[in-house]
Formats: sequence, structure tokens, C-alpha cells
Amino acid sequence: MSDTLITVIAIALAAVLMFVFPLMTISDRNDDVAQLTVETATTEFVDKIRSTGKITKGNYDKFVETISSTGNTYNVEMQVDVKDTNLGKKVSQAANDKIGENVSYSIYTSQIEEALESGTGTYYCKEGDIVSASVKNTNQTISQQLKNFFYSVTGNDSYTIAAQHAGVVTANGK
Amino acid sequence: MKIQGLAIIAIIIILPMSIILNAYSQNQIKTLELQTQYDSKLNNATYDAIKAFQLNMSNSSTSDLTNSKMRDLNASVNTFYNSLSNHFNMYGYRKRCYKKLCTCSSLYFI
Repeated sequence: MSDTLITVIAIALAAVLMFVFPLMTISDRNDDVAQLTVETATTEFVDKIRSTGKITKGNYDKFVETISSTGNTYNVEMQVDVKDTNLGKKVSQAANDKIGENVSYSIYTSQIEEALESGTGTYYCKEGDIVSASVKNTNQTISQQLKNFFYSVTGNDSYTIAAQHAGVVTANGK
Repeated sequence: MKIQGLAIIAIIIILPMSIILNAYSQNQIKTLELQTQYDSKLNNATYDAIKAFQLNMSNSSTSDLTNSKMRDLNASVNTFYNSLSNHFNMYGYRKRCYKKLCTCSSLYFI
């Protein structure tokens, strides 16, 4: 009886050590690689917008393609804080081109995507606008599934791969 | 005792130690990662502020005047806080919140 119990425990431990642990480690490393890829792609995408002053359909599609190549699905959110040309406050020397002085209004993902789908397929920014993009995974990665199975610490809606980058646009797109 | 039993006892002793050490090293990695992220966000916000100052100076015909310089500097500081708020996904907060955030992050690095 005692021998049988020990054999069963040994088999269970062997299964955990030989299959579950390597799988968890590899899926964790896979998530790390995906995280790095997404971070790099997001930074490149935002920096390109900042230096050229425009969001083109080609760039956006390339960005989505790059992050999708990690094998996960993502929710991409973009925001452009457009510098309003109306002065934010009354000043003696009126100038509407100062960066950091004017009020701004925001343009969000759906509006940008609408601009990309119509006309020239380009959304133009101007000097002083602030562009930001954030990416979060929407599917559950293998690592998340295993963690949920063993520890149940992460909820179904939580994400493990996320990247965010923002910055001031330094060129006029038009 | 059979060798099988000894092996199980050894695994039962080693496994928790290995798990704890792994969790500890993962925590260290996460801390370093967070520090790098804060560094990068502050660097980017500073870059944006300097770039805004540079652009404001080059676009202004009165940039040599003292009050114009002060104005450019204030605009540059505003850009720093705006950029920082964008990096931390804190749109629409007041400037004093960002100042508090900066104090917290500088304390974090001390």
C-alpha cells in the first residue's frame, strides 16, 4: 500500500517537473519576447509620427502587423492632443504657435482610424501636438492560462503584454 | 528506505526553495524594469520640454527679450508636465498632481 502511494506521488511529481514547469517557463519567456517586440514597435510607430508629423495608413498597418506577429491579439489605442490655435490665456504678446501655452483638444482612436480610411489615408498633425499610443493584449496567453489554472491570481480581463509611448510632434505634417 | 522515497523527500525539500528563489529573482527583475520605465518616461518628458523650448525660441522673433525667454521657459515647463501626464496615462489632471508625481518618483529614486 505504502509503495503504491509513493509511486503515485512520484509519478505526479515527475509529471509536474517534466511537463508543467518547462511549459510555464517557456510560456513566460515567450511573453517576455512578445512584450519586447510590442514595446519596440510602439516606440518606433510613435517616434515616426513625431518626426514626420503624420499618421499614414501604411505605417499603422505595418505597426498592427508587427504586433500581431507575436501571435496574440491586441487593443491599440491612439490619442492626439491637438494644440488649439486659439490662445489659452490673454497675453500681451499674442502668439498662437507657442508649444505648452495653448489649450488642446483630444482626437481618439476611432476618429484617427476614420481619417486613415478616407481620402488620402493620412492623418496630419502639427508641431506641438502630443501623440500617444498604448497597446494591451486582449487574448489570454498560455502563461496567463497556466497561472490562472495554478494560482488564480489574474482575472480573465487582465493583460500581461502592454506598451505605451507618447511625445510631442516636432514637424508639421502638411 | 527505498531510493524512490529518498528522491521524493529530496524533491519536496528542494522544490519550495526553488520556487521561493525564483519568485525573489522575478521580483528583483520587475523592480529593475519599473525603474527603467520611470527613467525612460522622465527622459522622454525632458526631451519634449527641451524640444518645445527650442521650437518656441526658433519660431519667435522676440526670443532675445527677457520676458519672452521667461514665457518660453514657462511654456517648456508646461510641455514637460503635459508630456509626463501622457506617458503616465494621466490625461486631464491638474499640474499639482504631476508635481506630486514628480516628487514621488524622485523620492523613489532616493
